[in-house]
Amino acid sequence: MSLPTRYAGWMTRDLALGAGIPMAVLTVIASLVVSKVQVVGPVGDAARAACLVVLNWTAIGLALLATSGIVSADFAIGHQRTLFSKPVSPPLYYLQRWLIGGVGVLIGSAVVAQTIAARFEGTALGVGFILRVALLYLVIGGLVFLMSTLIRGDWVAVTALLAWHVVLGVAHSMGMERGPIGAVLEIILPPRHLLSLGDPLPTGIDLVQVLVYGTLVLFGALAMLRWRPLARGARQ
Amino acid sequence: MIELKGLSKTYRSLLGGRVVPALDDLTLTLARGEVVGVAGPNGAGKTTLISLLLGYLAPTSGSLLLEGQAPRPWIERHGAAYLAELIAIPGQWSVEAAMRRYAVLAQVPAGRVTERVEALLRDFGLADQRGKRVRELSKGNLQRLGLAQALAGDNDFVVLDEPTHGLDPLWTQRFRDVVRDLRRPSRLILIASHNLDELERLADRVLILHQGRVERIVAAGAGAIASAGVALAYRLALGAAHPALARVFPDAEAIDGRMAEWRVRGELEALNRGLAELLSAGALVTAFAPEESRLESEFRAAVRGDG
Repeated sequence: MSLPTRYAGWMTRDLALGAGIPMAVLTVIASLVVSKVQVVGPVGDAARAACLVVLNWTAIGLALLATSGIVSADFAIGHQRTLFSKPVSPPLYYLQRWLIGGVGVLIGSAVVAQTIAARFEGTALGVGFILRVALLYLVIGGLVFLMSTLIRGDWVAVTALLAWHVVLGVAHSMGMERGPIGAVLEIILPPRHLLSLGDPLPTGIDLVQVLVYGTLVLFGALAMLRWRPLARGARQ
Repeated sequence: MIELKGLSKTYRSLLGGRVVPALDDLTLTLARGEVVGVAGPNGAGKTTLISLLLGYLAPTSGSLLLEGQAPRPWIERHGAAYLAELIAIPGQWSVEAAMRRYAVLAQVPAGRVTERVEALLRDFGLADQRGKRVRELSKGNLQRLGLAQALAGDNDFVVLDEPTHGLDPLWTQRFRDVVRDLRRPSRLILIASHNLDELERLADRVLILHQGRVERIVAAGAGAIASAGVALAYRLALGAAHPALARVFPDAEAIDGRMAEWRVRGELEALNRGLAELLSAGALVTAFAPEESRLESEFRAAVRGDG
């Protein structure tokens, strides 16, 4: 079994004409925002930091858009019954779609990062940047992918998780106790705080945490596609 | 080609509170070269059987092997020509794009995709619809697109679930020709349908499912009726009432009190002898047709639980 590479062109077209449109809009808006940020005087560092926050959330937004409904959209109408009567492996079909989505996220993030770099006279693009986007996509895109094999409102569920993570982070920074439930949630929720595109690549235990989390959600999605019934769909 | 042994499928709700048996202890062999019909009332288990054959569901117990392999790996390797009962193709795709996509997925060689797609669009009368979105198609055209996509590859396992649903009489006839053309020694064709007449015309044998069990397996086709030696009811219509009728068919019953239309019963051979006698006596026979096909009578008996 191999990836249905001959179908990659159609998948790319689906992305471009589907999620690609809001992804492009988000990229343009984020680029406009970062290009208008005031960079002179002592506020320059704060402005750059603000731009990096915009970049991070843009990349997360792009990952949510690229993977939203990646599996669930087909299952919602029962299209998988037709698709997988062809000699195609469901996990490999959706893995290829997920990877193509990742390329879209990388392109959008690169445009915003390059806009920031142009404003602050730096270079954003390079292997380090690509690896950081790849890690972010592995975690966030992988989580939506997994959710999409389970429920229809995949991106909504992941957005809620991310929002919850932000709330927990704010509460923690205000000195509130995390408690045992908070500690468990810390493990379940995506390690977004380790995925800042403006920071150096995580190392050591942080890198292990990101890789383990991302690998678990990605392989969880692939395992679900291998074992879940393909009969479910519009009829049921 | 396909072996089912003690195959059962039971649907359970998430917490196991609700249990719905769908198929119960099916043991059966389906061979290449056959056209097999699957009939049964709603909820008999036809779609569940198809889902199991395509590896979309796992059996609760028993086994199902396609050439010694579990269905899913076999389908992922060889593919199947499958028409689903409810055709679900993304509505925003154009007819031609949908066909091209399915041809690529069906592993049609890159250099032959255009030729194959054009042939299917032409054969299924979709050439003038190629630019339309799938959501804009009428029920009949969508059904034809479903059939065309199913046949995009050159598969040895063909599964058609309610294939003539929504087709007009012209295309229903064309569909019969398509199935006849599809027949080949290496291919197994499975047709699930409520249309017993369709199955009787196309299938070599028909499985009658009822409440998840194979109640009967009926040999179908014109030859099967002749060789079955079963007494069936036929409608005999004459140009005008004829005195020889009472002698030739003493048990004939007038239909709706009309003296020119009669119901006669018997084995086909005896009925043919009677018809010859009637014709030689100068009667003008305008119609002679089964009132109910053998498959219909077997179906009725199976569903009622007779014999």
